[in-house]
Amino acid sequence: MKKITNLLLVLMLMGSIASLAFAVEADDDNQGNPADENETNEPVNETNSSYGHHFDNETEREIEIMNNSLGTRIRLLQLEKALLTNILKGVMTVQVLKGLNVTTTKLEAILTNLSDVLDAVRAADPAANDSVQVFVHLKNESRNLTKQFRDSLRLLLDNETIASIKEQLRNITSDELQNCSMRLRHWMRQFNQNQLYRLYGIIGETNTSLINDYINGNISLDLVKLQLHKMVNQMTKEKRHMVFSEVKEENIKKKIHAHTEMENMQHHGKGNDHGNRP
Amino acid sequence: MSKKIISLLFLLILLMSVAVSYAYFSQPSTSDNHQTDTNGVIDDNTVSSEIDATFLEESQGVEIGDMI
Repeated sequence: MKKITNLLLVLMLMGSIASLAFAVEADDDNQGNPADENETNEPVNETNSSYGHHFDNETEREIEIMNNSLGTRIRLLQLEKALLTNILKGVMTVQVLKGLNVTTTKLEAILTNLSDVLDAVRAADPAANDSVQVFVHLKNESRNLTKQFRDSLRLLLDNETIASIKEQLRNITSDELQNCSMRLRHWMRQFNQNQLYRLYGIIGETNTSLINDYINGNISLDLVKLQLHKMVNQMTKEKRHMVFSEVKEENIKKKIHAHTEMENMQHHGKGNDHGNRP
Repeated sequence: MSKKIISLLFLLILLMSVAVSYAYFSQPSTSDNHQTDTNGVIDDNTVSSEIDATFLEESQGVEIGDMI
């Protein structure tokens, strides 16, 4: 009888320890995977440099606004801008290397591929059903080719020369790049204008002059946000709660949509095999 | 007598661990440090950060890495 009692006590103790361990494990899961946090915080060119790593938190955040054609247009334009910047820097680097009598065949081939990706980005239809998959695929291509260029360059030059070229090309720009930036700014302001109207709709007041000033570039987005914060802070507790709930709900919906898109792509491999360039 | 004390001690440990487990499981998961309190009162920063999240910053871009 004494042995049975002891056994029972030991079992109870084990049970209590196991439940505690399980609870700690569940808490760790809630706090997230540290590897995922690294992906978000560190620069993409360092942490997501692996050619096989196609899906990351940053891309998921980017596709949150791609549930409509305006959001998709903005992301495609941002990708176009990034590609234009990289191609410009690549072309200038090749010119510098030619001046140093370094063979640039491989680098030029990578630049040609990047130009093909740029053409594909420009040809992408923001209103197409598969625009998110197209964006993710083209972004992955851009990232991989950029890394290939960077790696090839490191085999050709020493770190000091690379740093020197990098410094020279830091603020390089072109008419094409500036034109892209202007179009991007226009569409981003349109997007933010839509968001402002939606927020004013929830709040129940509209400050048209503020919207116009923002669209015309007379005031910054930060100032617009500040005005909105003031407006919301002056509300009653109930109304503020209502505004918070509506905005939060919309933000969560966008996150769920983005997460679902990413999961679908991961399961079907669309991010990798869609829209292969000729 | 001592057996009863030991039994009570282990029962106490069991109850404590169940309480801790429950606390962990019922802890609300939040993506940031802002949250409503038990009375549903939302602080100003929480509303502001949700509003800010609806806008796009013009300085933001798609990151594909540096060429050099």
